Amino acid sequence: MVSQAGSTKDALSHGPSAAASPAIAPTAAQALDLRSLFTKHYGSIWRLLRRLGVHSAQLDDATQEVFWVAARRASDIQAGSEHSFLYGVALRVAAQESKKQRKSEPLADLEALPKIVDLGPSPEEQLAARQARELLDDVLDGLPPELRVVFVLFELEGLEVREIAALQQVPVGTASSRLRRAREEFSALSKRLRATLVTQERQRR
Amino acid sequence: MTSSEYDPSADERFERLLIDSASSDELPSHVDAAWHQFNSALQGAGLLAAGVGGALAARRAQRWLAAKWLIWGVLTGSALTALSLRPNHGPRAEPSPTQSAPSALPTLATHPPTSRAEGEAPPPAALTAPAATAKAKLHPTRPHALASSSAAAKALSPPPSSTLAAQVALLDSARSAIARGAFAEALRLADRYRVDFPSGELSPEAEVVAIEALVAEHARQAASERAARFLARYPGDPHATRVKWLVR
Repeated sequence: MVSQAGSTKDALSHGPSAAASPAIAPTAAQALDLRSLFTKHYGSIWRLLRRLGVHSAQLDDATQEVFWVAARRASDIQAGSEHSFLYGVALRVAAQESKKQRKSEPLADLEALPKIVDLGPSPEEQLAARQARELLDDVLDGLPPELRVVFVLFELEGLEVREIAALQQVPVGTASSRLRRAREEFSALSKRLRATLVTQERQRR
Repeated sequence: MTSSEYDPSADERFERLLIDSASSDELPSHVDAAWHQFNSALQGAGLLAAGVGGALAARRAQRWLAAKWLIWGVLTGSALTALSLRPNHGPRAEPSPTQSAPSALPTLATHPPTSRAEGEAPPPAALTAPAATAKAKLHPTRPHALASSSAAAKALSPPPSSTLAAQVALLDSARSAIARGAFAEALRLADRYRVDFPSGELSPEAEVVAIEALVAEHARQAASERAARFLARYPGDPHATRVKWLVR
C-alpha cells in the first residue's frame, strides 16, 4: 500500500531545504496537482497529527511539513496512493514532534486528569462529547508513542492492520502485537480514569 | 470504588465513549489560509533554489525587465508606463523573457485574481491583509508612489538595474558557496549583503541564506538566534516556515 514510505525517511531527514535537496520546481501542471493534493488532504492530515499528539500550537507547521515533503517528492507519489504517502510522512513528522515534546514537558499525569465537573450519577452518562474528547486526548497522551500510533490508526482512522504494518514498515505480526498491547494499555488507562472520576464524584456528594 | 460496585460493562462503555468521541473531531476550516501560506513558502524556497531556472530566474528576469522599463519610462517622462510595468504587473508587460521563463511555482499568493478566475471564491479579508503585509515586508523599499515624477526620478538614483543586479549577484554568489560547501564564505557574502544593501529588497532572502549557512556549518545556536531575529523582524514573510524548519 505504501511502497513509497521508505523514501519519506530520506525526505524528512533533510526537511524542506532547497540547499540540501533537489529544488522544488514543479511545472504548472504539477503545481496544480500540488494544490489539489494540499486542499484535499490537508484536513485529514491535520486531524491525524492532532490525534497522534502534535500540540495545537505546532499543528499547522507540522501539517505543512508533511506537504513540504510531498512537494519535494511529488514525482515519487503514485497516482491513487497520495493519501498513503502523506500518512507515512505524517507518522514521521508526528514522531519527531513527539520527541521534541517529550523533552520539553512531562508525560500526562492521569491523576490530574479529572478536571471535568458536574459528572452526575455516572461519568459515562454525563460526559459531554467535548469533554469526552478531551479525556480521550489525555488517555492517548498516556500511551507510549509507538502504541499510540497503532491505536489511533486502527481505532480512530479505521485502517486495517496490514495497512498499518505497511505504513510503519513492520511485519503484520508486529503491527498486530502492538495493537493488542495498545488496546490493553488504553483499557487500563481508561479504567483508571473512570475510577478516578467516580471517586471524585463520590467525594463531591 | 469497592469491588462490589465494580461494573466491567461500565468500563467498556466508558472506553467506547472515549473512542467514539473522536468521531466528533472537526476538520480544520483554514485550509485556504494554510494553502496561501504554504504556497508563499514554496515560492520562497523556489526563489532560493540554487542553479535552478525556476522562481529565482523568473523573478530576476522580471526585475531586470521592470528596471529597464522603469528607466525608459522616466526618461520619456512617462512614469505611468514605468509603474504599469513593475514586477507585480508583469502579466501586462510586453513580450519578455519572463513569459518564456518557467513559472516555477503556483502563483496564487501573489496573483489572487488569477486563482479566483479558476472559479474559486475570493479569499477572506483576514487572509488578504496578511498576504499584503507579507508582500510589503518582502519589498520594504519598493516605492509606492512611482506615478509621481519625483519619486520616479529618485528611483533612478542609484540606477535600480545595477542595484538589483548587484543584490541578485551577491545572493547568487552566496547560494553558490553553499552549494559547493563553502559555508563560511556564504555567510560572509550574506552578511556583506546586509552591509552593502541595508534596505535591500532581498534582505529577507539574504537572512535565509545566512541561516542556511549557519545550519550547514552546524552552528545551531547562532542559527537559532538569527532565525529568531528573522521571525521577529519578518513575521509574515513567506520564508518564515522554512526558517522555522531550518532551526527546528
